[in-house]
Amino acid sequence: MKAMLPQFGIEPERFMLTWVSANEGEKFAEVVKDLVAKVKLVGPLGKVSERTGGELIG
Amino acid sequence: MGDKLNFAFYWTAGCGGCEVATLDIDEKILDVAELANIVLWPIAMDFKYEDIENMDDDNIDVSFINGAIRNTEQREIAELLREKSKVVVAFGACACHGGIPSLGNFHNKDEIFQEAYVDTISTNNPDNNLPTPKTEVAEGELTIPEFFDTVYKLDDLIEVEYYLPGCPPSTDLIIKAVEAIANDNLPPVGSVIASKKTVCDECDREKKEKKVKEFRRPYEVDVDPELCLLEQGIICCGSATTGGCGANCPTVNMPCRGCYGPTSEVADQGAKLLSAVASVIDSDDQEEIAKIAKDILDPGGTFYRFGMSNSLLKRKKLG
Ligand code: SF4
Ligand code: SF4
Ligand code: SF4
Repeated sequence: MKAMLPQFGIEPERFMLTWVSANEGEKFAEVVKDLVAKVKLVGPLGKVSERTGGELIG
Repeated sequence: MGDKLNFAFYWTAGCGGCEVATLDIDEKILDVAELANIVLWPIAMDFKYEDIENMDDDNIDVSFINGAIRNTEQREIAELLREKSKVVVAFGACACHGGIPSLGNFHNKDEIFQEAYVDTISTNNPDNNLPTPKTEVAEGELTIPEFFDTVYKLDDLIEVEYYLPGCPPSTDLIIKAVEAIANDNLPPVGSVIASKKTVCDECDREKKEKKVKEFRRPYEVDVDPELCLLEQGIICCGSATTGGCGANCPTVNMPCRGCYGPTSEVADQGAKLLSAVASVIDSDDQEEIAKIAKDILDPGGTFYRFGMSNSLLKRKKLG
């Protein structure tokens, strides 16, 4: 997945895989905050019409 | 001539293999000639687009179009055939899902031109001339079709009644389709003329427990002829791929590359394959998993080999 996303022009920061157990509430909150912060930095992903430059289909 | 049907065969961005597959139905091609007048078939006969333009709408009973759409001429003829045809069949992987040409969606027009007309070692192009849609010469203006950034499947542009997948479709399925047309016994509009099952369902290889420590290419392995290829660490796309070919490739020790496209339950063939492959990795250790996954050199090209135009993401983001 990590190797494939950049092939689609998708920033690797958007993807995260981690293990949090059910009793690690605090860790979960941190992990999510961390990911949200990273994704905010890279900004919106764009719709399919933007991906194709709006050339033919949207 | 009166009662005969009118057929058109057309190719867009393809390799010609689908045309050969049509001829490969051998003596059955005579049945086709018996059944129908061929009003357009650029590979085999001389016709002018003008003849088609002058037809009434719906004059063609069935248009078989193979190839993806990647330039303005292909779009124009596909739209023209749509207008003049009662039924359009997307013939082959390129027309159904984008096929091999749609791997171009991992690049854009500029990158493709740079590679094809400048960077390839066999190219001698000191002035960096690239194709341009319009060129002025002493005699006037010359035009060639305009190349798109993105490769499209046929139904991105026009309505399509039937899909005959495969790269190319198997002879049996082509005959099945022609017979259905001859007997006026066509399935519901929108049908894919193939199997409802997966390639794995059609594959005779023995399936045991899938536990893989490394992925290898077929040439790197002494392939066991009985055992499931994926279990031998060879990436095989059978589990997410529509059957109908009779598991052609695994039968001859080659993995399925997914040319028949996703089964009806699968929204995105590549994502499904990625998860199928990830689930056979035999490790709980993140580092080891990453190392095993590194064996897959080109995951995008491997999992979306025949279907970038059909994927949820469609292409590499432009810009
Ligand atoms: S589907 Fe395969 S055989 Fe047919 S035109 Fe495309 S690449 Fe060629
Ligand atoms: S993964 Fe490939 S080899 Fe294994 S059963 Fe499916 S089609 Fe056959
Ligand atoms: S086994 Fe897979 S790649 Fe081979 S013909 Fe069938 S669908 Fe295509």
